[in-house]
Amino acid sequence: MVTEYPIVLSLWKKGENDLLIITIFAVILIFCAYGLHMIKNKLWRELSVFGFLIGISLFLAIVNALDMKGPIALMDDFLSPYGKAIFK
Amino acid sequence: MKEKCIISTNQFVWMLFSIITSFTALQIPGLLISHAGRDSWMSVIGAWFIDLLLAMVYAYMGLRFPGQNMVQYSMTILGKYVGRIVGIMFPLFFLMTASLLMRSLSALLVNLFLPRTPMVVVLGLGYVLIAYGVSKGIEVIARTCEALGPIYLISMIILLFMGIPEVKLHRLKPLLVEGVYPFLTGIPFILSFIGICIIMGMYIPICNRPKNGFLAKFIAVSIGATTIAGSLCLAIGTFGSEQAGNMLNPSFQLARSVHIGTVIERVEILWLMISIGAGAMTCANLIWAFNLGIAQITGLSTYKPLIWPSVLIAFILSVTCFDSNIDVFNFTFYSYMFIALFVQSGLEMLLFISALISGKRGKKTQLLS
Amino acid sequence: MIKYIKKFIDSHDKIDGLLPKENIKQYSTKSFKDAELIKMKISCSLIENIKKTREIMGNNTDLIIRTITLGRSDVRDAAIIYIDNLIDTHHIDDNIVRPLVLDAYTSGLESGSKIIKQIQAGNLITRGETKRGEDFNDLLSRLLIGEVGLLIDGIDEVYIISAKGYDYRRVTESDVEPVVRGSREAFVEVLSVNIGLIRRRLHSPNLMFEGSEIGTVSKTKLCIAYMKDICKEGLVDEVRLRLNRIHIDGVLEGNYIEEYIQDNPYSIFPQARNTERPDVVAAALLEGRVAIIVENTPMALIVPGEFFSLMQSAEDYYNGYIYSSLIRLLRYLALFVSLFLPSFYVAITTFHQEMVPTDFLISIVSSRSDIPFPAFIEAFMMEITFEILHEAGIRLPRPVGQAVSIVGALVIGQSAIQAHIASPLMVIVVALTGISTFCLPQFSAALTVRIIRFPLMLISATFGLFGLMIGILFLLLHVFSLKSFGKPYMDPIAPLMTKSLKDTVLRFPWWGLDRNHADNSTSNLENMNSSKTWHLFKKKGDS
Repeated sequence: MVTEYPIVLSLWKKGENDLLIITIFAVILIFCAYGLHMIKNKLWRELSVFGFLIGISLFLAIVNALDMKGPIALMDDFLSPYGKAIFK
Repeated sequence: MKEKCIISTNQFVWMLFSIITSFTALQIPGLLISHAGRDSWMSVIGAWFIDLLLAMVYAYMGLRFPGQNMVQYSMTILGKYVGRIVGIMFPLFFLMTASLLMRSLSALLVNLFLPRTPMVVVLGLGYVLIAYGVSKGIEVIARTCEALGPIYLISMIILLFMGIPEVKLHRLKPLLVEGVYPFLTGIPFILSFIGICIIMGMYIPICNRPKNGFLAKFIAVSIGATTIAGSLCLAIGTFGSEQAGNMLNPSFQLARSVHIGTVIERVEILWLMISIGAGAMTCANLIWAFNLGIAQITGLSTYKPLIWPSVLIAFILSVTCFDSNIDVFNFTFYSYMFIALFVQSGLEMLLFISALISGKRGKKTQLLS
Repeated sequence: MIKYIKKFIDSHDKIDGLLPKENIKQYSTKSFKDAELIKMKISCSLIENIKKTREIMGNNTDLIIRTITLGRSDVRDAAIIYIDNLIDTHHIDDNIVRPLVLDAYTSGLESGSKIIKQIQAGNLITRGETKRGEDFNDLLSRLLIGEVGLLIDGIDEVYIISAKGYDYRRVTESDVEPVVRGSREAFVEVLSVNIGLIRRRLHSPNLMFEGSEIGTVSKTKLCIAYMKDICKEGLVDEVRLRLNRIHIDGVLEGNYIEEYIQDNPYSIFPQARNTERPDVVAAALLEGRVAIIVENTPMALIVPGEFFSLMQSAEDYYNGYIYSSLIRLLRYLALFVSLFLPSFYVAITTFHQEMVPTDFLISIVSSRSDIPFPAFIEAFMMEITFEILHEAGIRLPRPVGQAVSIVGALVIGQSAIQAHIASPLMVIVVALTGISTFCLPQFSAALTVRIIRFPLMLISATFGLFGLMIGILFLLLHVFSLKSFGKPYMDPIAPLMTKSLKDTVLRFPWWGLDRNHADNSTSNLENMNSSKTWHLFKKKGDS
């Protein structure tokens, strides 16, 4: 008997670039919450590291949107032959 | 940046126990049994022994460089630039492990209980919780682990005891049928998961008694290894090694078989809830370690602004790096071990030998008694 | 004719008790601040002092000024000023007016100046407490709390004489924290009575009651109570510091202060304990805590107020330890039921039906088959209905309140089932949840539980038991991050303090509890603010 409510499902319309849209939205929210405060207090070092991490998250989302392989998938491609050799 | 929070030895033990057991008990038994069969419990014992040797190195380095974690003493030993390159690998490893763990937990949950809920939503909720926990600080995470850890341990013990009637001892025999190769290769495999408690290197500087670092690790790993070995034996004894090796999660199936008459049955979700809670706290620990490490590498005064960006990165990694659950298992089984052993053992041994050769030591700080 | 008109005007000018040529009708409507009143000094002229008093107090009908003369030779005018309804008139008659007007003569003091000397020496006024004031702030602030002012012509001071005698509620049994065994006394609205109730229980010279005032307009009296030899020094300093930081016009209840002084103002968890019972305050003081007692509030605040102290009742210590321990366990069970039962029900019936035994599941399904709403909506509606009934029951007059309970319980519950709005099991769940909330001894903790229940139900309805677990973790992370005056909120569970565990969930017998030195509640104080560390709070003699 499946009675799980598709509350979330009904709000979710499947699309290709959902993750990129979510990431951009999250980046804007996070920047408004923290970035503006750092700019106001002139915490340039913190802001630069903060910006760098945000940039990485956007980069990863774009990589996914372009159907390219992420860093973990690349590592997997490099290492899995050795793993398969050990764990037959 | 110096982390100002302080944790007690008791909290240290429970944090390590939660980290070891949640990561290992949920992901690994099926994979290990599929590789080592009936000898998998021996792999756990071997991994336990080697992990203790590794713990000695971490504890020694924690005392040799008082008040410094691995990221910091990497820079002390190897200099500003090389030290930063080596030091950053620890936080990156923690981030990768956190995203892998969250992906595995969410996959388990969605497959078994919430088939119509998108995994992204489950992941998102989990990461919001993790971000909240990290923003409160390591003291709060430590207290939560101190409260949840015993509950998790008790749930494992209850599971083990209640599963005993289903065990048929003949399924555990004979041992070493395929020789020693399966269990010997199983040792580094399981060590890569138990060894995530190298995070002890991040805890020792903030422990009120840093000298208890090794003791805390010893207790946590011993309890963790015992429960993991127990669940492996139980899974093999109940289902047989071939069937258990094909299972998504043998511990979960064991929990499913637990019943008291016909009144209490199918209580696996309760056990899974507690395990997922411990898993979420594990991820919170790992994300905290990532944030602290990055803040120390980049010379920031606080890691608080980095919390949400790091959680976002971990979220994206969890969602994007694996197309399906099979990819997750393949990565966990074939690739993760190399990365983990390189960081856990390789880097630390490099730092240890470099410290001995160069004779570098940290400055004595006023250690709390 | 002109003479008649003049006489008429003059007779209107003279009012009993007043000196001639005083115009009492034209008062200033100007308002005066404390700083201005401090600058207005009492002058040597009695007429001027009375005029200024009327100017400040305006047309207050309860302001009484009684003029008298002192002595038969060298007569000096004097005035007794008080606010009616705040004083006991017998004190005026027998202890102030009589000695000045009658007894002075009988003891041979004929001269006004000799009488004044005796007053200044404190020998004539037969009241226990007298003070002197130099300015109108001293005079008026004292008048307004039920004291009497004596102004004398030629003296630039006012003599303040204690004569409080206002009506107040007598000491009765506690409504909020009743017990079967133990003291039945509860606090009242008068600070001095409350102080007396505590003093009677702790006959120690180290019991301190530090008084102060709060509220720029209300000037509400409050006092900080602590045991000098038990309480950690830094804790009292911190309490004083936080109280001094409060800038408010009026304080009418202890909660005004509680919201100002708590460590985490955005948290819904109460961070101070409220009690109506003096024995609870006395016990808290023996543990090294600080009590804040506010005038006009029959509740005392106790700080630090960590979670497990909110779950304790006075009766736990008056009954046997085995019974008390079992009752405490029951109380914690009630806490879990009131917090989690509706969420658990919603999660199980929506997502995890396989957990329910088959026969019971069939019964649930058949009872819910006619309900058009999902379990969450059903639970939400019933919980809201219960909360409405609960609130209505508090405010209704007692005779009607009982009828409302019967209406709520029988009619609404039964009607809801028959109308297929709710299932019988849901009504049982809601009733059990509500009853369990009443098991919690602290009203503020019960309010918190009632609020938290709803978001937990929502997250359980969306994500099942996983959602409930996430909700529990959010709660745990939140409560573990709270502190109350430097003391972790979940002490002694996290961080674990094994010594204090003997009186947490279970209560060990008195001979098993270490009661000789108070390391129970104030041993684990952490940073209260950024400038202090807990190392500074060591008691004398600590290692």
